[in-house]
Formats: sequence, C-alpha cells, structure tokens
Amino acid sequence: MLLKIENLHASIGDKEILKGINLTVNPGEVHAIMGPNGSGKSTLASVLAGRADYEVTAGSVTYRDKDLLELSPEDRAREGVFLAFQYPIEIPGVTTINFLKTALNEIRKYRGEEALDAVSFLKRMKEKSKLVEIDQALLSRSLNEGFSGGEKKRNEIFQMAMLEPRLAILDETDSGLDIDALRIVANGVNILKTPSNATIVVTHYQRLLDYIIPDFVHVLWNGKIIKSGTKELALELEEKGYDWVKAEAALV
Amino acid sequence: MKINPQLEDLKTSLLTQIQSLTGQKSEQEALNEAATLSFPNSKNEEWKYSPFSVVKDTNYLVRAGQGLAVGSIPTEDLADCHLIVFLDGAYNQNLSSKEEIKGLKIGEIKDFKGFTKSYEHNIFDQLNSSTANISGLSIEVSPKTIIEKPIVIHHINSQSDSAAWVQPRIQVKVGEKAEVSFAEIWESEGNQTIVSNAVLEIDVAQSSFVKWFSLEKSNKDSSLVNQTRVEAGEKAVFQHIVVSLGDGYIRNNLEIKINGTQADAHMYGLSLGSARLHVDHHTFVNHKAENTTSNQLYKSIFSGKATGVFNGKILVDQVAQKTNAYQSSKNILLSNDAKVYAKPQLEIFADDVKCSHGATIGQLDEEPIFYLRSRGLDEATAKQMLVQAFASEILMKISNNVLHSLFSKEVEAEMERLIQIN
Repeated sequence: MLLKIENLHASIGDKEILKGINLTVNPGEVHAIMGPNGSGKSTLASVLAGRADYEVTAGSVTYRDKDLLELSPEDRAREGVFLAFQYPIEIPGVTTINFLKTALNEIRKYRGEEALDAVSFLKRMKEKSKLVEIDQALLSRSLNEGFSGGEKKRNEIFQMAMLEPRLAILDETDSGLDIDALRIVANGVNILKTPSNATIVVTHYQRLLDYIIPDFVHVLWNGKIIKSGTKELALELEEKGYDWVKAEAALV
Repeated sequence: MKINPQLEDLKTSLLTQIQSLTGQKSEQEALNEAATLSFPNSKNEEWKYSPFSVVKDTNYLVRAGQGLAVGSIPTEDLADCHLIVFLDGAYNQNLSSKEEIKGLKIGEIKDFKGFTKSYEHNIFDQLNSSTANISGLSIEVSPKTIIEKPIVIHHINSQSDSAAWVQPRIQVKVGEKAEVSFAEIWESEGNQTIVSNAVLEIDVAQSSFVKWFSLEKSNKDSSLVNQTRVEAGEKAVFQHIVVSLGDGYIRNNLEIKINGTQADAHMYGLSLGSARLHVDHHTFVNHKAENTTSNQLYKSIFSGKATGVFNGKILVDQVAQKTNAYQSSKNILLSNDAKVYAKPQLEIFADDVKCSHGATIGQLDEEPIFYLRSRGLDEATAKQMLVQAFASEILMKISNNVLHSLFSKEVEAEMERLIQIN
C-alpha cells in the first residue's frame, strides 16, 4: 500500500470542504477522481501536497507508513509526492532548469544520494523534455512566463518526469488543453507509469481518461466519495452526467 | 526651526577643523556658506523620513587623505578595471592605477572654482566644496573616445579608533560621442564610525554614453550622503545603477537635467538590508528639451527594522514636448518592522507627454513559495530564490561581466544574511 486516506475532513476558514474521504492507492495503480465543480477535488489534491490554506480537522493520511499530514510540503516532495498544479504559476526571474536542479538535488540529498553533476542533469533534462515534447528553450526562460496554457501543463509533466515521483497527483491537468496537448500530456504520464509508482488523476471530464486509462474511478461529491468503480464508470458519467450518482447517494 | 544641539556642535567642530585645512578662495566661500546653513532635521520636507543623524557623543575628525596607514586593497575582483582609489575621502594617486589610457585624463581638482553648474546648495554641498582642492578628483574623457575598461573608484578608509568625516569630491566631464563606464565602491569595514559626505558632478556631452554603477556598503555606524548631479546633452544616454547594502544610513540625491533633445536617462536602484539600514533615494529629473526619456526603477528588499524612502520628482518644462518619463518603486518587506515610504512628485508643464509612476509594497507571495516547496526546496531556499529573482532585474542591467559578478556577489551575501534573520 502506498497511500491510505481515512475519514479525511478539511476546511478552509469556517467552511468544511472535505467531509470524510476514504481512499487506498497501491503501487502501479491509476486512480481517477471525478466530480462536478466545487465537489472538493482540488482541495483533496492541495491537502495531499500540503498547501497551508487548508486545515485538516479529522482523519488521517498514511503514505508509505508515514503520517503524510505531519510532513512539510518539501518533505512530501522528497518522499516522492508530486502535485501537477491546476494553475501553474509564473515566477519571473526563476528558470525551470535553475529551480529544478536545486529541487532534484535536495530530494537526492534527503534520500542519501549523491548530487547530480551538471552533465548528468543536462542529459536527464534532454531525455525527459523529449518525452513530453517540450521545447528546451522554454526551460531556460522564466518559469511559465509567457507560456501558452499547453506549455505550462507540459512543463508540469516535464517536472514530474524529472523528479520521478512515487505518487503523482494531476490536478485538472486537462483543463484548458486542446486535443494535441492533451495527448502529449497523457502520453508522458503513461510512459512514466511503472509498477512501483501510482497516479491520481483529478478531472472534471472523461476525455483525459481516453488517454490515461484508470484502474479505478471515484466520484467525489460534496466532500465525499459517493461512488467507486472501474473505467466503465467514467464512461457512464460522460453519458449520463452526475445527477444519477448524486440521486443514488441520496438514497443510501 | 528646532536645532538639534548635537548637530550644531558637530557643525561648529567641522567648520573649525576645515578652516585649518583649507585656504583657497572658493573653498573659503563654500565654508562661509556652510556656516549659515544647518543640518536638515525631520521638519525639513526633503529630509522628513531621513533626518540626518550621527552616532551619539562622538567627536568626528575631518580626514582628507592625510596618509594614515592602510591595509591592503582588495583588487582580485577588479581584474581588467582601471582602479582609482580614494583613501580617507581624498583621491590617492599612489594607490591608483598607473596605466595611461588614451583620451582619459585623471587628476586632482587643484584649482576648484566651485560647482560647475548652479543649483540649490545644501550644507552637505558647501562642506564638501570647502575641501574640494585637497580631496577632489577630476576625470575627463576626450570626445569620440571609447574606453573599454570600466573605471572603478574605490573608497577605502584607514583603520582608526576615532570617528571620521570624509568628503570625496568628483567632477567628471565626458566629451561628445565618447563612451565610458564607471563603478564606485563604498567600503565600510566592521564597525568603523564614519560619515562620507560625497558630491559628484557629471557632464554628459552630446551623443555620449555614460554608465555609472555604485555599490554602497554600510555598517551600523556609517552614514553616506551621496549627492550626484548630472547634465545630459543632445542624444546623450546616461545610465545610473545604485546598489545599497548593510545596516547604515544612506541618503542618495540624484539629480539629472536632460538638456538636449533625444537624450535618455535610466536610473535603477536595488537596496537590501536588515537591522537598521536606512536608504533614501531622492531623485530629480528635469526634462528641459523635446523628445527626451527618463526611466526609473527602484527596488528594495528589507527585513529587521530597515527603512526605505523613495522620493522621485519629475519636472517636465513647457518646451519639453514628447517627453517619456517613467518611475516605479517596488518593495518587498520580509519583517513586520521594515518600512518603505514612496512618494512620486510629477510637475508637468508640457501638454504632449507620457508619464507614469507606481509603487508596490508587499511581502513575498505565498503561492510561488508553496510551488517551489512542493518541488522539494525548503522554505529558506525557496525564499532566497524568489528574492534573487526579484533583485536580478536590476543586476542584469550591469552589462560589464566583472562588475556584474562583483555586485551580484555582494548582493547574494547580503541576501543570505537577510533570509537567515527571517
């Protein structure tokens, strides 16, 4: 078991957003978390990555036998948790290469590994940028400054490729992407998939799941997972919308 | 006006000391003028946020390069520069580069005739003028001369237990179509108690290109009053970059008169400090001709009880149509006690101009910090990276490699101190 979320409650200010999430993720699995807007999907992703805006009021998150909620955001990253941001921010004056080199070596140091020298780093960068079809010139520019929506998302997947996480959380990575960009991003995720790592794909639409085939699909609504199933559930949701699941949940 | 008794005593002491050092007519006149003026306090509008102050109960001795012992001068960072040394406030020929550069004339002022141009003089100007002959430096660049090597003016002070008052004076004349870069480095070692009262005049002739970089290092007992007056002729380009660091008191008055058409002035500042750094940038740009441009960007990063002041005055004369004048002050405060006062002053008498001004004051944004932390950087490293990025916008404008790395190194060292404190 890689990740076990039990009865997770989280609030922002006085407002409770997550109202008892239960989810178990094993190595090698791809989980899709779907749900209408405002159901708590992005909150779940943020809480797992350690964003300070949210307060966990109950429940637990166990990641590789550790209490994930006790770890700082950087230690979560060093333990192998990666969040691909829904809205990747622009940071003028900081290049992707520059901070990624520091990040990678901080992670290696944490794990007791030698720092990567410049040559190996560049080699790895070249390899991974090919994988996600990102123009290397972009990586020497200020992070996301002047990038198109697709370039920003590809840059997230590029970083994921560089950092080789054990648990990747893709927060609405498909939003704002055209079909080509979607294919490229999905392709990157699929190539990076191994038997020892896992992916949580948070999405509103089914279309990303045409490219990234999930092992499990969960429907999140009103801060709870109200239905879980296999990839067929996603197709059903695409066809019938969310209302029938909500109705079903209301009956229970 | 309420008179600060300590500053009145200081004035009397300085006047007496200088009287015995100088004799020439123009110096004497300046000294007489100084006697009629007072050091500015907070009642004086232009000094409201930066009243001049000195270390309490201290007897300041006027020094004008009287040849006290000096340690070695660090030059390893200044390879490929033409070095000029000011020791204890006076130009020191012996310690300066002996190399002759074609079209460059460097020497003592000797026959000081007062200010090259007239403007309203304050007590600092007059005191400085009263020792111009014994401390001053004159630099002339012949027309059409392109000087590749940056000219570095290094202000150093001999080790001494007594507090020092020094008054470096520099007059620069750059001829038509000449190109030259200068860097001025203000050292302040350890806890040396010192006041530097500096005056610089630069005449930037028609179609010439002059860059002036200033690195102001301060300590808790140092004060620097740095007054610069520039006159720019037709099609001239003048660039001024000042980096201010440390814990001391720094007051910069930068006054630029754009006299000729199609001339540009670019002014940048970067201030970093913690503890009790006080940096005041008073700029004054006067557009006196058509089609001229001025561009100002002053940034600061403060923690501790550091204070910054930016007062930018732009005066566009009626004749100066099609003026472009921009002004911006951007500040990051890392602590609750750090402060910034920003005040734009635009006086526009022409009707066809583009002018803008703006100021931002804030903390480091949480979102980029979280982003970097989510990639594995610890909080301090993330902050440092963001602060560095903020500063780099100014540093990247220092086009010379040697100077760029020297200035960057100093800024990085200050940055580390700053982040650690927080």
